Amino acid sequence: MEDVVTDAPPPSRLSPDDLDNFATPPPQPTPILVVSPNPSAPAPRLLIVLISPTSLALLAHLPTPPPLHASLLLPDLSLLTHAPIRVYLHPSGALLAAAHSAVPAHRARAAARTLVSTLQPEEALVLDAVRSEAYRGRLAADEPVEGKLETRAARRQGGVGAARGVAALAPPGSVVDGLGAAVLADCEIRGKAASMVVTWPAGARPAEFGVMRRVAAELGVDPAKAAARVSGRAEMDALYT
Amino acid sequence: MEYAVVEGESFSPSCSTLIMPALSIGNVGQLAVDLLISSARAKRVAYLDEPSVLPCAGNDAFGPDAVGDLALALEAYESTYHRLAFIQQRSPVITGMAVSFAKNVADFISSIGKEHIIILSSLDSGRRRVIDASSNMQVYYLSSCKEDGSDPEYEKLGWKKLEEYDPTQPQWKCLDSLLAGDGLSEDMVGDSDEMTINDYYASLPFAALFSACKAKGLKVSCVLCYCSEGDNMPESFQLAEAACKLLGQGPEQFHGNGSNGWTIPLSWKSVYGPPPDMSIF
Repeated sequence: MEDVVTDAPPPSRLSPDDLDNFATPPPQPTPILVVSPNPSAPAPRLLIVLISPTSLALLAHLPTPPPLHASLLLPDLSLLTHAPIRVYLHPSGALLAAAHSAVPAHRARAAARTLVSTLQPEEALVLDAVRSEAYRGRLAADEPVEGKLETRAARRQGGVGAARGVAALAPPGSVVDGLGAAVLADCEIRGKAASMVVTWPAGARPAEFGVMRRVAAELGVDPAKAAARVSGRAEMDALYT
Repeated sequence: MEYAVVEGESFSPSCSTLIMPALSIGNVGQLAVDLLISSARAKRVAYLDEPSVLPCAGNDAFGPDAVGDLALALEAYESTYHRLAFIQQRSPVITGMAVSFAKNVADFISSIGKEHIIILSSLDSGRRRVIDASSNMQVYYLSSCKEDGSDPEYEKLGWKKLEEYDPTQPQWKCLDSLLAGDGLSEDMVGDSDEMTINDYYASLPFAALFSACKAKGLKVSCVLCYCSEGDNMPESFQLAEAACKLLGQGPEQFHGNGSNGWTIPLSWKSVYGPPPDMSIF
């Protein structure tokens, strides 16, 4: 039986570093967004941020690979073959920002701010995944869940693009963090319309979600062809080298 | 720190007292501020954009129904009826940026004309040196009233000054130096093996906020209680009631739906996740 007096206390919901004024901060150099020179390109109406594996699967099934418009570099990350976020120009004029690798939590705000302030979309749609540790509802492994969060500007117009018709994220108390939340927050601060739709399970086929089917239709993707989940970078790299 | 004021709202000069949490064990300060905002029916006045706070987003935290009102990591609320302002923080500060956060918050609070800051926070019961039968219910405080942190008015409330506070000790002087932007001199950098229990308190977020607000010339009070990690709602009620006592406002002055005058925030209904799956039985 554990000795409640002498045994170490259970872990806190906050880490020791969260509660230490004298901890050493990680390096946080300014992100670099390298944009392809195209003086005739107008400011995009829509920025779609693809974070969840389900949404990234759509990118891999576009009829033709869209040209690379910009790459976001985080100088503090170890040298990777590719930038963590690559932005592609869709024939519709929309920009597709694909998070090819995870953006560390402490860099999410800087990355989001760089994307939104440099690309200057009129509105944004973020496609992310539900994280079970921050979700207060019941999650079954095979039961699709989707919910949205959006800025005040997006609510006034009923939502951004394919997010119209998606119900608000429930139950209350569930939160989303990381790059998606950072993009949403930055758009709210700037007064832009932005909707974030989170889906579960993270690796489910796009065809299982209404929002993904609508996005697929707008991008010219056949949802049936996007049935195969693109899970590895090698598959993505083969399409966009 | 940047901020975006909600359309139709503004910071009110009549709300000169601001209550905010300091991150701590059990998230007690944050829970207490949730309770106060909900019960005071305070309105969101602004979203705050602070680079040192990790981003997060959620649905309406207060209700009565979660209809999609966006909740972000750092927000400002006001209740002109109660003449109170609030800052609610929902996610941690980036490691190592607590002092920067405290400085930015103090600068912001000063810029919007607030005069008295009340910081609600908790302390780890495992660090307590003296334990008696009433320890769990005892409220501790720090005040900018006197240099040693004491305040005769708070003593009358039955509160005890945090004995471990000594502004002449190295770690508290470290904080002051960092907040002043002076960096650390060699004699301030202590050997971690020689850190004392008093040094521990100086390392906590409430200490940075307290020192930053003092440095800005603001009147600041820390209201503290000891707790262990677990169901920390009782401690949040304790701190919220203590804040009311300090302000001379009782819970019955809030428009609560509970018998004790408090309105339970909507987000608390699922704080421990969904109910158990009864289909397994």
